[in-house]
Amino acid sequence: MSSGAAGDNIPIGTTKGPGESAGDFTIVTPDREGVVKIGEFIYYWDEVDGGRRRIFGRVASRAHLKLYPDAFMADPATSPGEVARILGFESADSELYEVNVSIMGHFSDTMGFVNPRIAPRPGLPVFLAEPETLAPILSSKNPGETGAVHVGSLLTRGDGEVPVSMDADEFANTHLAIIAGTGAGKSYLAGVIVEELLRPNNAAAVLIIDPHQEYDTLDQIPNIDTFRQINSEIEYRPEVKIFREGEFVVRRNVMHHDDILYLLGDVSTPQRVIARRALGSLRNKRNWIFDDLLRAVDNVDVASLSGGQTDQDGQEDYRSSKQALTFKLQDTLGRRGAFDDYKHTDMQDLLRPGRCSVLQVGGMDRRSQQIVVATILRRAFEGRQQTKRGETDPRDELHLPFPVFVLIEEAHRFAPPGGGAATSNLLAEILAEGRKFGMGIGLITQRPGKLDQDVLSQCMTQCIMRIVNPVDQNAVASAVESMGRDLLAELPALSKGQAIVSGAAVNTTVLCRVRERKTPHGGASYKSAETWTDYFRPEKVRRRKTDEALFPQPDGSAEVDLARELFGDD
Amino acid sequence: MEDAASELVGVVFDTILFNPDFGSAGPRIRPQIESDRLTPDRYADTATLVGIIALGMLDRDNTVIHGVTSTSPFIGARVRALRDNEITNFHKPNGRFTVGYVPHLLAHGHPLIEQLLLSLSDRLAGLFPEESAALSVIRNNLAWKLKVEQSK
Ligand SMILES: Nc1ncnc2c1ncn2[C@@H]1O[C@H](COP(=O)(O)OP(=O)(O)O)[C@@H](O)[C@H]1O
Ligand SMILES: [Mg+2]
Repeated sequence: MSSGAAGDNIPIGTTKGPGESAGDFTIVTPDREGVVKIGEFIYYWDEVDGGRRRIFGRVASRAHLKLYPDAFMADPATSPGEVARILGFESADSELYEVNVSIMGHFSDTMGFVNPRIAPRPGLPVFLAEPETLAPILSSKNPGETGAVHVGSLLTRGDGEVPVSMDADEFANTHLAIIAGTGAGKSYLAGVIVEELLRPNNAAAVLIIDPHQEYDTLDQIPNIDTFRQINSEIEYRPEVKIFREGEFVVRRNVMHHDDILYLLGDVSTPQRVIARRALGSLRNKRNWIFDDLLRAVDNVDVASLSGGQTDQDGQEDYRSSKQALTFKLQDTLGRRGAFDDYKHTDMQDLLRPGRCSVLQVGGMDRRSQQIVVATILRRAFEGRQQTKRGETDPRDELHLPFPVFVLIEEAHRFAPPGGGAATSNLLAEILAEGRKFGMGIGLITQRPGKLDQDVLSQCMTQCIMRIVNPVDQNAVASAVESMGRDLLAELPALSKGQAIVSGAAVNTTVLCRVRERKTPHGGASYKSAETWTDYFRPEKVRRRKTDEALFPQPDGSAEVDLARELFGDD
Repeated sequence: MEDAASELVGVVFDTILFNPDFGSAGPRIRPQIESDRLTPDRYADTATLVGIIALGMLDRDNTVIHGVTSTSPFIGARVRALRDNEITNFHKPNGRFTVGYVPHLLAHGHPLIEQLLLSLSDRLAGLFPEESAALSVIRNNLAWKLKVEQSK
């Protein structure tokens, strides 16, 4: 059989034989151009099903076959290659590598990659996959196509040379996980994904749970031309709505009873029993308000709770429990801001195609965050189910006749290992069933070890970025089957903005350089040193002094003295 | 050692003081006829047997081969010392310095080869001062093997 075909690059190596494991093979290459990088795609030709096809593989690891003796490197000013040359070794290929390649197979439009299940015969030439061959087989959608989420380009090639797109239909149905250590670029990537989802080719309904106020800069999207499509037939302008704290409200009487109980935190058993009774008594009162709940607590028949006994002490206990519960309710559910008797942030306001809603939940305590998120997720999920079953009409708040995608930052807060958060069961349910009802979840976390592993393993598409912590690496390894061991070893070596994208939304695992944001990134880290030094800028010092003269503080004089000492008395 | 077109280049690696009176199985330095007659000088007849190891070949047209050559010396070939410019030509075949015969010598396995190479590299460092850095890497490597590893 002839070696290659017209259009091939120059061969870069030669097949050697089976590799370390069943899905691997090895090639030998002098790698003169330095192109055989880990994560790179290569191919050889072989006979498959009666036709000659390119069999693709991904470079997993490489090792030197020839090594200079250590002693050749004794003098930093003399290269070992020069010593070898003087000793009569004249070849240009002084380096030779054995490269382990994970076999992917030949590509078919209908089947994706089909593994030949056989290692190549030794001695076949191996080629670097050309950009135009590679782009259409890595991603199932081309940038700009409906459903394409163009996140960046192949890391082993030049910037933009081989675009990498995820398939929105896949991750919006079978969920997405973005996992990496702090500062690796998770939120940046999430921003890129949202930008793509809001382009005219997707016009998605997106909700972001944003505890760190990192996504408010997405509100630039409507001002950027590429996000709009306006012609005679279509007028598309995406919207981005930032809901700051207090700007979204959950009406108390739509809340789940379990959620209200959860909101109370650790309460005594009698308090819990009373709360349950009180909530139960409101079941038939659709539009109850907070005062009704307090009244219901007061009206709970203590005698019936203490088993009909007329034991005075027991009843006294319950009475004090009622009091404690009332305080607790006032302190949690009763607080203004997130919860209200009448106002309510409409699901249709939060969720609609071409709109991204950003919920800034950072100001709330953890339990309230969970309850707000749980309530919103539950209502969205119910809405999708009811709409799908034809139980809603367009005026209903829960009428949601389109799929929705919810991106959750700090996901480990909402689905800790083994459950226990108000959102735990709900998230598990949506992740398991979301596909049936068109509800997708994107989980972002820097602590995959602190995220429920069942939840994590339900995310069929993964974007994994730099992870150094071994505990977190293991969590990723066990939850993410589709990602090869080879690439797992790369996790600590990745730089900011580099991601391993694998799973349902791409055809094969690919090392990706995340593209630049079109909107500014809102998650810039705090400039500590700048703020500290700023404190001592003369005008700042002067202002403080004036302020202190006007509003003398009992212990503020020390600051002024320090400034005077440092900058003199001007 | 020379023939018409090319010369075998070698280096002296051993000398043995030889007296033909002892060890009759040895090579004959003097023509056999003379040994019939007893002459006084016979007792003083000693010779130095010089061992030469081939390094390569130097053609008339300055083609250089380091290592195993395609010819071998024949009995009676004339032996002469190389001139300095010939040593230079031999070590700079294409204008680039090389001692391609070193691996060939090491493969020889003679116990004194490393010692020989040490003194050879010192000599070459004198002739090619610009190569002394690379030569000393090779030299130090040899010296380490010879003096440190072998005394373990
Ligand atoms: N693809 C990228 N291109 C350019 N800068 C990036 C990229 N990804 C991340 N950064 C920068 O790195 C910093 C950390 O990114 P961020 O997304 O906030 O990290 P994380 O959310 O993982 O903690 C940000 O300041 C951001 O500007
Ligand atoms: Mg972040």
